[in-house]
Amino acid sequence: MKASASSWTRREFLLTALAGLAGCRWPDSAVPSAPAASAALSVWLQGGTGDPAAAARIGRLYLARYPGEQDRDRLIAGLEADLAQRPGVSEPDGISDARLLERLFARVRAEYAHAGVVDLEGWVLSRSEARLYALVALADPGSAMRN
Amino acid sequence: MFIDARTLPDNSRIDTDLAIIGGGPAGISLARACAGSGLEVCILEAGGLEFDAAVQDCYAGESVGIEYPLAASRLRFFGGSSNHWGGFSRVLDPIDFEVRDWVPNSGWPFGHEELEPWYEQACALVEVGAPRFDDIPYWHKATGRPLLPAASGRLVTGFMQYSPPTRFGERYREDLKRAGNIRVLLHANVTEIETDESARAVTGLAVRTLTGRGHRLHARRYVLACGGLENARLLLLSDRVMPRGLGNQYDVVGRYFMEHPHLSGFGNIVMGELERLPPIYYERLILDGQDVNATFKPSESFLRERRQLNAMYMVGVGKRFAADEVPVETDRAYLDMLAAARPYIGGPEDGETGVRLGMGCACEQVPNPDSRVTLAEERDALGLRRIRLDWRLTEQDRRSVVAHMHSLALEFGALDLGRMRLEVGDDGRWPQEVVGGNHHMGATRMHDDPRRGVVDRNGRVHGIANLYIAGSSVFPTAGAANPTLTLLALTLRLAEHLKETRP
Repeated sequence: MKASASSWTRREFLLTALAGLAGCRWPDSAVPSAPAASAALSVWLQGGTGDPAAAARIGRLYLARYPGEQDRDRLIAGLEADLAQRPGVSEPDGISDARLLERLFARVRAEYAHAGVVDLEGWVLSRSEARLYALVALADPGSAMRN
Repeated sequence: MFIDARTLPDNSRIDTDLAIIGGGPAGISLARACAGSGLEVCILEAGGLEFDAAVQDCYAGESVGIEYPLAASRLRFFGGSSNHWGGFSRVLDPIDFEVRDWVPNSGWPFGHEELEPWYEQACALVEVGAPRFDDIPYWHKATGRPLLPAASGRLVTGFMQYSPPTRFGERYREDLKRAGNIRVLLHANVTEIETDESARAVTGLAVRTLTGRGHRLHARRYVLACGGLENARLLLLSDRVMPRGLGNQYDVVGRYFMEHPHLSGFGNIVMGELERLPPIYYERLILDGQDVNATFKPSESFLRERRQLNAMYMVGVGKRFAADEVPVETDRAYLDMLAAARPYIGGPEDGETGVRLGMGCACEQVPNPDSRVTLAEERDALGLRRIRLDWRLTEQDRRSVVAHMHSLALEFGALDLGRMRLEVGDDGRWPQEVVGGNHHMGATRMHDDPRRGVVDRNGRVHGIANLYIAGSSVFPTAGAANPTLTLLALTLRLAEHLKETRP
């Protein structure tokens, strides 16, 4: 196991992060099988976060600001509620990664447009974007906060 | 004709039709507008043609509120504060003229449309070309590139046009010399505005030079045009008949002093791809012979819905991060955000590149009667009590600034342009870094009710038949635009009024 996210490739980091998330509990109303939900989340994580080490550092600001969300289940539930087309229902078969990503980007833009944002030591960020960074941070608890 | 008052025989008497106290942009523009009118005009300028430290010292005073550079923020020689003006030119917005129930003491006696013809003339005076301050289609065509769409409904684009800048003393000196009906008296300090015993009419001006000579000027009408701070000071100093000061029967003179609180460095925005922002937003461009750039300002609907004060924001490239540059620790947070937010705001996969935009803002402040000009005990070289300024800002002012900063962050995020970090906390206090913009407004404000204003809608001092005031001290509200164009528009309007109503 590598010492910290900064020494991994981005793909390695995210795959490991997802492996850590695979066993989490889904809300009772959730119908999808874990692999389908994880597939969407995988797309959002891979496509919605840049450099993992940097994302993790910002994600730690979110977790410090919102200690009630220092929990993968809650973060994923929050993201799923905001990003899924129909919460609790699996994504349609064959939905492309591009469409999933476009939904994320549209959601993030909308959160900025309608002030669905959080304040992280002065950074004004869309909540969904910040939650994605927080998920990355949970996967790498050793990443240092540099702010 | 230019005359040095120091060379006149002591106790000279000067007679004229229209006396203009102050040879700055307002005084010079008023005189020029009266050239060839048949009115004899005399400008009394306290300074000479060049800066002189002894003359300038008369502008020093006491700052007892937010620290304010009383002497450094204005200039006391021919041309006035245009001698250090930055050239920023923009009109007030229509909402700035309205009575807004969330802005105490707001409302002008007339609307924006009243000043529109005068704004056009004012633009010519400061050499900025036609007024296109909100003409998005025009500047879109001129730049060849679409401007930013409105994403959140909070912000819109406005434009700042830049004067060369026009130094009024140099630019219009020959015009005044050529005008057969205009005299300019230099080194002529007006030390008192004298009135009859009822204080209902000005009977003359006491004039002194720093060399000790004294003169007297008599006119049919008088216009006080010596700057947004000095206008109030001179009224307060003229207390022989009215102990509270001339025009001050209701204790309004000097009150409601307003600046535009400026906060630079209040926030930074990181962008992965500067190309996403049209250049007109972050640098001045010369387009169609005009020097212009775009500003961000709150939309009128946002101001009404959220009951906020007006503001104006500008951005500029603060730093470019090169891929091979060794980052400094203070940039680490910006570089992290550039790297993390790349899917949204762009930028290359490898390396740390992008830019940090710095920002500045100019904000409207509420007309506050406790923000005021009074007189200090210390006296200047003329024996006159110095000015005392207590510049104050309120919590309402601060909350508006915070709301608008937030709007800028939201707009940049909604447009996939960048991510903003606010460097100023929302802790209920104004940051120590707040400064003014050398904009002196409101201390002899305009209102048709003499209990609420010093001058009426025509700039005439309430209760005094032949005394008027020109300049930004008459503004009832400040808006967010630099005051020069508006004070010139008001001055040209006053000139028309004076010519139409000549006795």
